[in-house]
Amino acid sequence: MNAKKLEIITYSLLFLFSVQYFPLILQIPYSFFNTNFRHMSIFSQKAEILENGAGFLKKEPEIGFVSDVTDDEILLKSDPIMNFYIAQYALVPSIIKKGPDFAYTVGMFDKKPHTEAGISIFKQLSPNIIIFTRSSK
Amino acid sequence: MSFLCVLGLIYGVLSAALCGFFAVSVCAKDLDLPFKIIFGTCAGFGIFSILYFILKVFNIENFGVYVFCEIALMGVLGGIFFAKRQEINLKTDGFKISKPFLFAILLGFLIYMKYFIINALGSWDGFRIFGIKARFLYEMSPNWQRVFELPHFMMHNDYPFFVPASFARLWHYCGGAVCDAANIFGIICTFSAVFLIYFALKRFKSRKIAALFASILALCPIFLTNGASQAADIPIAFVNLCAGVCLLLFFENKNISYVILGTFFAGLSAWTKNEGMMFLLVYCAVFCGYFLYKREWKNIFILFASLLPFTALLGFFKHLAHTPNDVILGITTLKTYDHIFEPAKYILIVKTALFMLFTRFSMLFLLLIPACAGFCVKNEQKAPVALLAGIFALMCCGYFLIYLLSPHDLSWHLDNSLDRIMLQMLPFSILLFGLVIRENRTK
Repeated sequence: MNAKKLEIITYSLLFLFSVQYFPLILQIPYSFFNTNFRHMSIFSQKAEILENGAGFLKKEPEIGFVSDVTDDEILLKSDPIMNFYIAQYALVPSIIKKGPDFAYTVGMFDKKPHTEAGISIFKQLSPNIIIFTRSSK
Repeated sequence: MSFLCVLGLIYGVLSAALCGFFAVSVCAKDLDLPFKIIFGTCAGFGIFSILYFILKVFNIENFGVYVFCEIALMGVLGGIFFAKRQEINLKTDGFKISKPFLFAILLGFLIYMKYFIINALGSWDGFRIFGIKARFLYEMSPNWQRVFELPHFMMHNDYPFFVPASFARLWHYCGGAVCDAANIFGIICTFSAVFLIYFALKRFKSRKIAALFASILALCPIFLTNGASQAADIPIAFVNLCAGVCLLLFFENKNISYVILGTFFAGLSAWTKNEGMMFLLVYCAVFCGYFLYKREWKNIFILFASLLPFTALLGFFKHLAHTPNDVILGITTLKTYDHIFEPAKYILIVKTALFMLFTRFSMLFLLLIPACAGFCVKNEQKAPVALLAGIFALMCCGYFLIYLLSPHDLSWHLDNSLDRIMLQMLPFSILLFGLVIRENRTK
C-alpha cells in the first residue's frame, strides 16, 4: 500500500477515535461562562474553607492534623492523605504534621467528626472541618 | 480573573518567551525562526525559573527587584541580539500547516481545555507536589525555605523548581495564585511539544509525516490529560524533546552551539524532576561517547563546560533541600539492590508496561499504520538517529532499574507512576519513530 493511502487511513482512524470527545467539547462554552469551574474541585472547596476561616493559622510554624483514622495511619491511607495535603496547601507556609500535639490542630473528617484527648474545639468551619486547640490543663 | 491579572499573565509569558528568544538566537544564529520561537519559550521559562530561585536564596522579599533583574537580563540579551542582527537568521520557509494537522491541533486544544475545566487546580500529583511547592515559593519571606521541611515522602522535597518557580513567578505577575497561570504554562509545554515534533520532522523527514505524527501526539488523550494536570511530566517531555532536536541540528549543521543548547535543555530536564537528572547524565554520556569515538577533544571540553553550570545549580539545590532521593535512600539503607535477584519484579514491570501501552497509550498504535510503508533512515541521519536511539534505550533501562530498586510497594508504585514515566519520553520516541519511517515506497 502506498504512503498516501496509509496517511488517509491513519487520519481517518485518528479523527474517528476523537469523536468520543465531541459531547465533552460541546460543554466547554457552558462550563466556561456559566459555572464557577475554578472553584468546583474538591481540593479548592475544602482549601477555600480553610483559607477563609483559618488564615490566622499561617503564623503558626507547625499545625497538627487529625482525621477519621488513627494517628499512625494518617499518612498511610489515601483519603486522609488527600485531606492532609489540602490542609497543607491552604495553610502554607505553616507545616502540617500528624497528631494533635500542637497549639492548633486541623481536623478534617470524611465520616463522623470527633475530638481527641487533650484538644477542644476552637472553631468549627464546616460540619467536617474543625480547628482544635490544646485544652487548658 | 481581572483585566490586570490577564495583562500580568500575558506579560509574564511574553517576557519569558522574548528573553529565551534572544538567548537562543544569540547562541544558535543560523537556526530557523520556528525553532527559535519554540526553543526560546522553553529556555526563557527555564532561565527565569533559575533566576527566581537564585533571588529566593538571597531572601529578596520585593518582587520589584526580581522584575528589575528580569528586565536587565532581557536588556543585555536583547542588546547582543540587535548588535548581531545581521548574522542572525530570522527567515523561515513558512508557517504553512496542513488542514488535518490544523484540525487536530484545534481539537486537541479543546480536549485539553475540557480537562482543565474538570480539574482547574490540577491533578492529584500536580496539586500535591507542584502546587504546594509553588505556594511556598510565592511567599515573599524567608519562610519559603520551609518547602524543604514537608513531612511526607510523597511531597518529594528533593524535586527541583522549574515547574513550581514558573507557577509562582506567573502568580506574582497575576497578583494572586490563580490556576489559570499554571494552565497557561501547561498549554505552552503541551502544544510547543506538538509543534516542535512538527517542525523537526518537517525539516528532517517530510511535511506529510511531520503533520501526521504531530497530529497523533496532539490528539493522544493521556498526553493532553497530563498536560492539563499541572504536574511536571509534560514539561520534562518537552525539554527532553528540545534536547533531542538539538542533537539532530548539531549533526546537520556541525555547529557546536547546538551541543551547548542541547546540554542546556537536558539541564533544564534535570531542573524539572529527578528523572531529568538521569536524562542529563545519559544525554551527556552518549554525546561524550560519540566525541571520544571521533576523537573530538575540543567538543568534549565544550560539552563538559556547558554541563558545569547545571551541575553547580543542582548540587546547590540538593544541598539546600537536604532530602535524599527515595530510590537512592532505598539502595543505601534498605539494600533494595537485592531486588535484582527477584524475577517476579521483572515480570510485574514488563506486564504493567504492556498493560499501560495497550490501554492508556492505545492511540500510539496508529503510528504503526504509516510504518507499513517500511523503514528507511537517510544516510546523513544514521549517526544522530543511532545516538537518539541510544539515549532512548538507556532511558528505558534507567526507568526499569528505578522500579526494580524502588523501596516502595512495586505494584502501587507502577500503578501510580508508570504511565507518567512513559509520557516523559513519548514525544522523544515519536520523533525517533518519525525519523526511521519510509516517506514513500518508490523504486
